[in-house]
Amino acid sequence: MNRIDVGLFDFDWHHSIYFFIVSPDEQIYLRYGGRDAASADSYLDLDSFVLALRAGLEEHERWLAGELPASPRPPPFFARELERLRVQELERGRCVECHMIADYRAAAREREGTLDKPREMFRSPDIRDLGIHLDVPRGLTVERAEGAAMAAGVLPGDVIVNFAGSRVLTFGDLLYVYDGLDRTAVHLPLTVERSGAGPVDLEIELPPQWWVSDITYRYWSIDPQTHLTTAPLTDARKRDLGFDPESFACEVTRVNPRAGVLELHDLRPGDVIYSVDGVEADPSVWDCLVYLRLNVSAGEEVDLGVLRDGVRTPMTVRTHRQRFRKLGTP
Amino acid sequence: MQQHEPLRRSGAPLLAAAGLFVGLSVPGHSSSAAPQPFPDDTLEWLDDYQQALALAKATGRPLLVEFRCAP
Repeated sequence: MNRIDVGLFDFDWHHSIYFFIVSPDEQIYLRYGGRDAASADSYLDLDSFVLALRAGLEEHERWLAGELPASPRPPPFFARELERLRVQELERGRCVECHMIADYRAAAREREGTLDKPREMFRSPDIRDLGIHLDVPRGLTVERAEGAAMAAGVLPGDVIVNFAGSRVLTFGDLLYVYDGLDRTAVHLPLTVERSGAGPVDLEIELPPQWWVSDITYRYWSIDPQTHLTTAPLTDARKRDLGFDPESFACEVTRVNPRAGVLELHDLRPGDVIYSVDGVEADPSVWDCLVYLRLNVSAGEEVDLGVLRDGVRTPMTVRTHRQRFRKLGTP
Repeated sequence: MQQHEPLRRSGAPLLAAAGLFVGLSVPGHSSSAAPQPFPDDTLEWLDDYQQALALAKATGRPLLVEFRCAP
């Protein structure tokens, strides 16, 4: 990893396996990889891999013929440029695993005050939240469209060929483009190839918090762990409880036993969290726990407004900063 | 599962490099040996990206670069 330009081979470093097909002058033809929170291989299978290999070879033929426009090379970046990673891992001769690149870099940015958590912590949004369900063995062929995708006119059998303004050949391409989308975006243009109709341009209206992904499987030291699962309250329930419908009040649905082991808090299922450090609403989020994760540094204490059994009960909660085997202090 | 035709294009089989800490290699391959062109119907894994890139440049072949977290 020490000699790999990870600025060029950039991807979501928490994916367990990832492929690039590359020209001899390091033009990236395509990517193969990507996952969801349920499994590391939800989008990986032999048939779609073969499709990707074929597409890569076709791109190479275009490259050989001089028909492939050169894409600008991203700024180079090497693992050794992360000082703590260099000192704690490389200089000790340790292996640098993919997720360590992500965590050391994010932790460095957190220290510098440049970490963009919506973009860098909530990575690889789930396209199923847009209503796009792919027929995985057939690559970017849509098996089923629901919700926002169905409203946009996406149909079963459509093949996605352009996503958010970029040509895409594989799910890995698509997810990389989607992951890079500005978190304030509200529209997502896409083009599909439709049998009998050719290319069809569509636009998906992005739902609120489209970028919030399930990050429980990730090795993130930057995520302030509370070991809670929450669900946002409905507008009607907020009104019943006397909260503004625009607030991010949410209900605790599950408490992981680790919260008790780590002595983080005494929250219980059924508690309603209505404020985080005195803040009750943020137009960019609609779940209290998302707000907490974005605005609290891992390991810090945070004051929560909690409604328990109808009584407002302020609580101070400790968050936990994860540490990982093989990692020093990222 | 579908039946797949061999992945071959005229003179352009893939080279492969494992870009993480462990690379696959075919039996008998030595990472210290000088790179040799591969038969058209084989995929050989190298665990040194720079070596694979040099070979790609020399032969005009594309690279399949793998990053993975399992050995």
